[in-house]
Amino acid sequence: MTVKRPAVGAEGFVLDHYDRNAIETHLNVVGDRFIEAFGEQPPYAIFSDSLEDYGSNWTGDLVEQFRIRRGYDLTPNLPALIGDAGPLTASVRHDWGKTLTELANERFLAPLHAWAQQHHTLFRSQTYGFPPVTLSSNRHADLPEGEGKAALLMWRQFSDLRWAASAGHLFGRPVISSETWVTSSM
Amino acid sequence: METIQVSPGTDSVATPDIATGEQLIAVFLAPVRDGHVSLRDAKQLPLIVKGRLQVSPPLEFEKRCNFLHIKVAPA
Repeated sequence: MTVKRPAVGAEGFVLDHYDRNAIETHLNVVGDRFIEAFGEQPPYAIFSDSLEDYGSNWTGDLVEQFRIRRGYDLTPNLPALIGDAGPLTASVRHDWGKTLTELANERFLAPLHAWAQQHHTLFRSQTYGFPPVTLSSNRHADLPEGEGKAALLMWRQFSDLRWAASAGHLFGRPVISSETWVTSSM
Repeated sequence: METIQVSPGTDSVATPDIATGEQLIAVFLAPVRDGHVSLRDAKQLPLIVKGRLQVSPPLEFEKRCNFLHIKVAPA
């Protein structure tokens, strides 16, 4: 997909969250410039907004990584990602999602966390959405964050904020924040 | 994904245009039953000769060709 609300000159495709080189390039070209502007006083934290890279379901070496991690070839099983391809459909989809999660953890979240540590700042992250990260992906965040949609139902559902708080409990992150807003039309 | 109809008697199919930044991953031939593509019986077709996918032996019944290709951001 393309960037939803790009800055001038930043229009185009969203970077590939499963591609380590893409992340490194972004951190170098964009991140390093920002952090340098802080001089000797780095920010309290850097921030990764909620993951909304819809349709991000592939990367250049996915077939190779799938074979290494899952032990079989994805290519002849690709119809399972489109529809009912038989008894193996569910397991192929599960393995495909698991592989994407591992790649997002290793090539997107972990490098971001390492980059933050390298620059003496914390990593605040809304770790949910797509790419299909999991609750345990929050282990890469110093400051797990959720978001509240200012609706009464949010307190009765497993919201993004509860997701972040649960991860905080699991991984020893005592500070949980929430992106929250209200509207005058309620 | 791009799907095209393959008529009976067809022995080869032209591959789709691949634009800059795109990559053809695989091609599958699947039968059509009651108007629906049956992915359970989809078979991968590996042979491309001079830009045309070889269907051997020629089809006796209508099938659909599913071209799976991806778009990647240009470097």
